[in-house]
Amino acid sequence: MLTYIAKRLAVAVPTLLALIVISFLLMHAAPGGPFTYEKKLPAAVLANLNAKYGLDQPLWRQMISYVWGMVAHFDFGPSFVYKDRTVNEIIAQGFPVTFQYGGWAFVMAVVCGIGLGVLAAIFQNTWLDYLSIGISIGASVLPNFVLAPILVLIFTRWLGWLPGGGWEGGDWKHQLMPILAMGTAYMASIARIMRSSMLEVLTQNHIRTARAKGLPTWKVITRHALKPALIPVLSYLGPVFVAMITGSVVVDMYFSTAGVGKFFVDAALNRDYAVMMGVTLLAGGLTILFNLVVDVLYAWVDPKIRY
Amino acid sequence: MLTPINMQALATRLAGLEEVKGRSLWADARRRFWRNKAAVAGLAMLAICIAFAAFGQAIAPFSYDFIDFNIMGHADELGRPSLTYWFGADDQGRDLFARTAMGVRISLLVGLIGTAISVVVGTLYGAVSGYLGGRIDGFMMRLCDIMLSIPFMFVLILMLVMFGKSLSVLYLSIGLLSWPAMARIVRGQTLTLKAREYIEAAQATGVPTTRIILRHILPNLLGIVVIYATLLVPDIIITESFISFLGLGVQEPQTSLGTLISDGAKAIYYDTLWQIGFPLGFFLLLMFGFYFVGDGLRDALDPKER
Amino acid sequence: MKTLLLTTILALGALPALAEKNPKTGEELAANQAYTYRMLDSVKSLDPQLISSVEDSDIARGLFEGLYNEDGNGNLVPAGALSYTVSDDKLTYTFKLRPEAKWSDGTPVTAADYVYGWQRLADPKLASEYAYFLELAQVKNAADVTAGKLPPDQLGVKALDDHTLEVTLDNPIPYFTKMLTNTSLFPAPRAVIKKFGADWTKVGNIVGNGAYVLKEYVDGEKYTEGKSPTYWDAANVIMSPVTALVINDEDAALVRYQAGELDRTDVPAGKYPALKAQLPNEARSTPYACAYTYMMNVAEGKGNPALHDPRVRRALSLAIDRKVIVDNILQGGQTEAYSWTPPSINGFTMPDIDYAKESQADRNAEAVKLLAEAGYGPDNPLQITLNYNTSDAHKKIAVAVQQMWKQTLGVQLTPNNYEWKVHTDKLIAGDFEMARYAWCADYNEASTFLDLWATYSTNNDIKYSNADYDKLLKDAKGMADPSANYTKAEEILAKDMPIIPIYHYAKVDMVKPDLKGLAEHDAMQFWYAKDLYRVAQ
Repeated sequence: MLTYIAKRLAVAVPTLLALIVISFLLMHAAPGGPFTYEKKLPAAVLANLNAKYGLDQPLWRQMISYVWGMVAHFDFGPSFVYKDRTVNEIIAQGFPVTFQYGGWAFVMAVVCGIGLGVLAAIFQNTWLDYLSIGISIGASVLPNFVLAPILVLIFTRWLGWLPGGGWEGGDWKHQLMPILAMGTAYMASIARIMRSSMLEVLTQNHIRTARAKGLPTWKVITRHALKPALIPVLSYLGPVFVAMITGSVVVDMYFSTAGVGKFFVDAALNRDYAVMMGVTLLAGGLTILFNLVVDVLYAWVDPKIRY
Repeated sequence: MLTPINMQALATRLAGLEEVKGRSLWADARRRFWRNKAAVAGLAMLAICIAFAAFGQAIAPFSYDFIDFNIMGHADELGRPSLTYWFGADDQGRDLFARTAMGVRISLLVGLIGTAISVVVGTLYGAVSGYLGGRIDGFMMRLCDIMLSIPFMFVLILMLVMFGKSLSVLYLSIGLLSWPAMARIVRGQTLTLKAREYIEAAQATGVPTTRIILRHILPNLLGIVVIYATLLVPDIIITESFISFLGLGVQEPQTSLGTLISDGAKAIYYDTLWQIGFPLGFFLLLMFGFYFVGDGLRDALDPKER
Repeated sequence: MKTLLLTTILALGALPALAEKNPKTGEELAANQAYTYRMLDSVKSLDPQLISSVEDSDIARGLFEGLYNEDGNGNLVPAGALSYTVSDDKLTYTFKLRPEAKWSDGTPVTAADYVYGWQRLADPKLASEYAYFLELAQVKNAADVTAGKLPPDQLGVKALDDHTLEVTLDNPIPYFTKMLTNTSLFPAPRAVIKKFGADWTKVGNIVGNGAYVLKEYVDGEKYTEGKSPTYWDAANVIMSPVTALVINDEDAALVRYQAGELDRTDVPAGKYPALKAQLPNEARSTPYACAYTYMMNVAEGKGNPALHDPRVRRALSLAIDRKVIVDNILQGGQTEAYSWTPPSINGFTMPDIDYAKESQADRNAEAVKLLAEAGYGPDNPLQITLNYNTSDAHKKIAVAVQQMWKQTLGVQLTPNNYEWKVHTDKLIAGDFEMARYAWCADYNEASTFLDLWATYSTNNDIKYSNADYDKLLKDAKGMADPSANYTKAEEILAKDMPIIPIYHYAKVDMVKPDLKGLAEHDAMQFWYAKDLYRVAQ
């Protein structure tokens, strides 16, 4: 297993390089640059800006100096738009925020989602099953841009319990609504995948045998059914965990949480190349890492799996 | 050349064939499906949505783009649902009934086609990767990792620039956007399936790889694929509204369910709840419909009857 | 015990004494003098020479101070300068600086700091986006310095002594002093910038000469300023602390305003009348020097040939019911536009524009006639496309205009929305038939608008060209009072109609009723935190 992990980590390097090259090409191929404005900049000003940010260099050279800066100094360059800040500063400031609310949202989604899913499967076709299906479908049609205003309306405007936004260093009152807005839809999805997967496992022979032997249901579930039923949930969770801890543009914009989530959209719209590369690599690195974690977990869940 | 008599004979034979085959698999499945009350209810919900999408605009008293300038900007007082405006009017003074009908139609198409692309590509990719394993699996999955992480906004912007605004590009880009997650799930499931005794038995007896994948792996993936597909449909319908924001696909004054909902989200604060209520209601109906039909189909097609 | 009692009494006595009356107006002040407002996006830069966004300027005008400020009517008020003289040829300005002005680290503000700031602005090494502002102000050698042809010390700005600043221009312009309120022409603290480099604007490092100092900087969330003890007029600064909260979503911001978390926020489009009825003392709308237009590509061989016909352009313009756009879509006190320059611009006289006074029915009738003359009708419908960048308000206007033209003229308009950069890219490339465009004043004078459509303008994306128009504007540069020329130029625009003016902006916001001191008639919408105060209620 350890050699497998080591191999995978080694492969991460070329994967990230490929990601850099593809992203770089995509970004620069898109029309408009960071300094294309409706109020056009005079040629001399534009030339100065391009020289300062290295945009006057050929693309391959820009790519090399970018990679070099990253490898040699862990420097992801200056933001083209937020001129007082570097990409390192932007991510160092925003990622801990999204990691916090996204992490809690993940915990909520996984715990509640798996719980609901298992319950629904055990009590298939009872009111409990229908309730959990109802909750999960209801949650899946409420995208976060609808859920967020509803939460604010209830908790800020009507009840006055929670502040309508801000982060304040991660005070729990400021975290609750972002966590709910972020986690609810994922919880719903996890519940549904869990339910279906659990139902499938429950029909398998070894479970039937265990049941026939008269083991209590909860023991059958925890000892025999849960682990194999987790496989599809695990596959789903890899990318989802990354999506959650890198935040959401809707949550960041709506609750002013100052997270890194909004840069995934903002940086693209602003053609803030350096910030875009930064968040892309952040998400890419985490994706590679967590898909590896998932693959390792597969082997734990089902020891017969071999790579 | 087939003579008429031959034709008839052929037809009877074909019909007979179908019947024989049907009794063994399809008829069984059909029977199981129709016995499942939830599935039938789901089918009814979908039928309502489809009928509304197909005929809603024809029976609406106004065209989807007609603006009543008197109502425009005063929808909170003048645009309430009424006998003229069945679903009320939007901010712009347009008939929400006609617009919701158009939105349901476009989003149904986007949701179904996008999901179909994603399911086909994702399932095949995931099954092949998981089954073949080793280096091929490593390569295919790293490609997936890259696909999951590249800045997709630029892909969409480039598609817009290269191919212009069209619905087919929209379908394609949505399919492109969503298959890697599907592929990962399918591959995970394939990994466990591969370790099962009957697959090992098939391998041992020399059944060719393609046959194993098609005959033994894919059918067993059905459950998870159906469930994930029903999760994907709402996701894609919402994503579409964001892609339209970039300028790709559905354009004003045309509309989609996702756009209606995101426009309506603002109405939550301003007491024009019909603007979100009706589109969201249809969205909910659609999702329940898909879920129950999906669940029913899976149960019906599953050889291991519970 | 005794001392404790004493301090309590002192403290109790001190509070009302501190916050009693506004020294200027004599109004009774509230005990709470904190001010919190919404800003749309994170600070991009607080470096006066790098600032390019309106919201950053708002903060920077608290932290720094230039030669002049603007008062509530858009007139100049001495700030860093006490007075100035101008030579007979109008090419040399000599400013007497305020001798008691100090940086927040206690060192005096000198003419050399202004020279440094201006040279820095032009310096290719800093690569400021606002470097063109010096060129716009006609400061001597500005263009050559920015282009790297001359060193920054050749810029036409000199310190005659510690408190005398001399500026030399290439050409005389009547509005030079009006440009001095822009943050890019503020002084810069040389020693601090040398010491910290690009990090000098970080909290703890930053040194300014304004009424406030930066206390807290939580990026993307909030920025707090507190009173600066070294400011020359610190005795009259009342409001503190001043906090900007970043809230991207305007609806979310409004909810937080209503929950009491904010003292000022923007009103979402279309919501002003309801809020005005509900909270008449808080909803507020004042003119803002920006203009919104649909411009038509009239460049040779580009765009839609139909739009090269002035009759078609006029017909389209006539058939837009601006009242509907202003009253039904925007609903925030914006004004119908018939001229390009907003009437609120300081010193601008509106020309007599014929169709402005007609009824919409008359305009529509004329439009139908004109379009028929040009050869378009039911059997040969005019087909055009309109590009706009994605935004809710742009979308609503485009959809409304599409229906207006369809319902009155039978014109088939296809609105195309594009993401902002793609939209801009298409503008620059001239790849459009008709496009949404807007312009905000760089300084409070009509030429900032009118120069745009001159043949020599780099921003003239539609390539409109009219020799008379160019001449009027060129001549205006040398005039003491150019307003007659501006009026005439507007008349030419109205005749040729290369652009369809649609509306002039208003700043529409909610302001807590006890907050005073915001400008009422400044079209630039500058506000200075030091002028704000809260009255007791």
